[in-house]
Amino acid sequence: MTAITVSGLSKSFGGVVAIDGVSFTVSSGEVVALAGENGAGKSTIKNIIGGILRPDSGHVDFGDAANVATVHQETSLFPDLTVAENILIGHLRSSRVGTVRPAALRRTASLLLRRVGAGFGPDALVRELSAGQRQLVEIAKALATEPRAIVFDEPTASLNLGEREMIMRIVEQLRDDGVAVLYITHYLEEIFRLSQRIVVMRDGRLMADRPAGELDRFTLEALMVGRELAQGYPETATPRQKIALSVRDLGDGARVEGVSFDVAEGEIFGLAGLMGSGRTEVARAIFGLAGRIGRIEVAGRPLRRGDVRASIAAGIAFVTEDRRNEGLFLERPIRESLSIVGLGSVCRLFGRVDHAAERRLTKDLATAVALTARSGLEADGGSLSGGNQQKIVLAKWLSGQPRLIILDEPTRGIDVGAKAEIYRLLADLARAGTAVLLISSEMEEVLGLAHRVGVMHDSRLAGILDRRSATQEAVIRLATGGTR
Amino acid sequence: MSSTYQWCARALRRQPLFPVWLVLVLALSGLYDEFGTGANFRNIAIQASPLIIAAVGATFVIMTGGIDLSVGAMLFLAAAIESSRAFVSAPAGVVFAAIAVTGLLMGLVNGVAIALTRVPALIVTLASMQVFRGAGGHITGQQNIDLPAHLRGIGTGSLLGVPAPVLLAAVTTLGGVLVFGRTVFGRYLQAIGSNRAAALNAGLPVRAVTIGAYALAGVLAALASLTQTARLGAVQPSIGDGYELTVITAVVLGGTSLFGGRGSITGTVLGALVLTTAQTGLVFSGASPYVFDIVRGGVLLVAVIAAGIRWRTLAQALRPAAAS
Repeated sequence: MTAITVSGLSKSFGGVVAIDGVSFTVSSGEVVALAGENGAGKSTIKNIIGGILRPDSGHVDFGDAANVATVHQETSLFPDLTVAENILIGHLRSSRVGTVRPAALRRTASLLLRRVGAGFGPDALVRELSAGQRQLVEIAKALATEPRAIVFDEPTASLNLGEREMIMRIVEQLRDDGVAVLYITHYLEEIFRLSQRIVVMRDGRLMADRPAGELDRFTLEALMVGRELAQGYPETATPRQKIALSVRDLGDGARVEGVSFDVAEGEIFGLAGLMGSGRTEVARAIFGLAGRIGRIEVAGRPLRRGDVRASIAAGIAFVTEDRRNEGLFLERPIRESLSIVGLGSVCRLFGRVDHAAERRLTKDLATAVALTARSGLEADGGSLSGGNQQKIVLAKWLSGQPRLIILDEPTRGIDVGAKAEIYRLLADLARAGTAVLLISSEMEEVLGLAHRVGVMHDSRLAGILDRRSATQEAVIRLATGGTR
Repeated sequence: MSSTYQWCARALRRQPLFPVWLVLVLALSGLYDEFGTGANFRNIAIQASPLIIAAVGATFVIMTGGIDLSVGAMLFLAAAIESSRAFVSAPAGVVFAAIAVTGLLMGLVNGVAIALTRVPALIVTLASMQVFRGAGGHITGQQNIDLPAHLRGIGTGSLLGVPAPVLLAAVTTLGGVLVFGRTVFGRYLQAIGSNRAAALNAGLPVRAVTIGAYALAGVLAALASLTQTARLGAVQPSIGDGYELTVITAVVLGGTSLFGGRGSITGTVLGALVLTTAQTGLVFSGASPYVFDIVRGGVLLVAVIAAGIRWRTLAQALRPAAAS
């Protein structure tokens, strides 16, 4: 039975075509994956199905099962309300006179929580939950309406391996219960594991609608990007002898403690571990954004603690995991986000900015990272796709050659094309002698790029693996508290 | 043809307030014969001058995402010190320097408190506003104090036919535009207002720049005070009373975002001109002075609402094709 029929959907925003004549169906008891790069039009389709946007032409038909729920990517939860209140936020009225009966809410919420296999109760505050647990609440909330069809939008984007596994099991369970599932994700593994059919979008158009068995990974990537991708990871050169970064007994003064490692010039050092294992804290402590204890030396010189400006002066660059909130200036021209770090080099007498020099600098930086800014560098940073925003956050550090570059989740939520570009940049930087500290939840990219991998577990550095011993199994074993 | 249209569209997008002001001036000139005279325009320009000077200072602060409620009180305290016994007989140069230093100190108090403690600017300046106004009242004893002739020159004199206050406002505007658009300091101001965390991550001297913005606002408030009192020829207890509201309205009307990160000096100047023109128009109509308060409040509300609409809709409508 067909639960969602999308026929001939088109939608433009101010002259820019977001989707163009897209048709596909999702049947009960089937998972259809919606694949495509950022900006391909996946979100627009999700929003039209969810009733948030109205299509310019075409329509969505839900058959006799008019009940469709959406599980959102960025959680739409209220942190100060309880789990039960969040799950039933649309059905709080539990008596005839309109009062809320907490006991009834709790009961209903408990049932839903059990269905998603949550290990926490209905009275917990959402504020205290981890990202994975919040996603479970989000799913329970969607299930509260007994939907016949569910749209999942990147449900695992910020989850660790265990949590991802849990979400996928829930999706499989829903499918077996006869729910129609439209699954939007970047993770190709999830697409191939879950879906019966794959719908591929590119530039707002439907590129393919095929049974999952007929597509392999590389065909799918090529369909998404529109060209053959250079397969695998770029070649990296052998690191040099000289130590660029030396970390001894580093802590953040709160949880993280006793982290020690060295990174040589030209070396890519991966930092793996589950979400919340302390990787980000290590990065922020080194850069000076958080308090720290312990000793850090950059090229043999001790680094002042808690002083970002001193860190930058010592040649450290830091690419944040949160590009929108900490990386760039969304409502200012792209040019200003690009030149913000190197502004001193185009500055003349009395702090005057040499605009011609600034434009040259930013143009060079944009070229270096292969930025695709269709409306030019004077357009707002917010108008760019996630991948291009990420390129800016990286490019702003390249006006001088950094001695050490720290990258926290540099490829989160960006498309395969932009990912490949960032891998190439990291390899190039390393070849030129920059030490690279790469933090990532995507194990493949850490294993593919890093010369050595440090694995964090429970706020400690559980071990360091070299390229030969760094296998997926070894990393997971260390990350989950096992020994080597 | 189309390039003219594009030029107009771009100018309009940058400064949508200009046609508003033009229509206001034309309408008032049509309504009242004496409005459209050179003497009246000169008068409006002189009246707008202190407002422009203070509002340029406030633009720096608001661009960082801050706010300065103490503008009016700074105006008053600066005036009170100018009229104090210690300075009334001092040479003009000494008095002007002393007032500038007073403004600088007041601005530094605001800036340091805000940058170092991270208490919201609204609270810090709400407190300092009361401190400054109280100090001013203490010094003047809430009396009217006439200024000696040599201190009035800055308000009544002229150079090559241009009234001194207008000259000062023009120099301030020019300086503001240059600092804003051409210097690292100006760029940092806008970056901090746009995204403070990103500014910290990029290693910008966030504290120093924030303090600098408030210090500048203090100095310019003192300069506005000098201009204002010299024009009136006296220091009155009501000087600067409610001035912060007019200043903030002028800045917001000029298109500067109250959340920071977006705005312009020329917009602020236009905002000040629109407000002063409206005020003069109300005088011509014979309305009570309270009507101006109503108009000012209404204008502020409309400006904030329009800002929300303008950035999204108007920009989208006029921009050729923005990437989604």
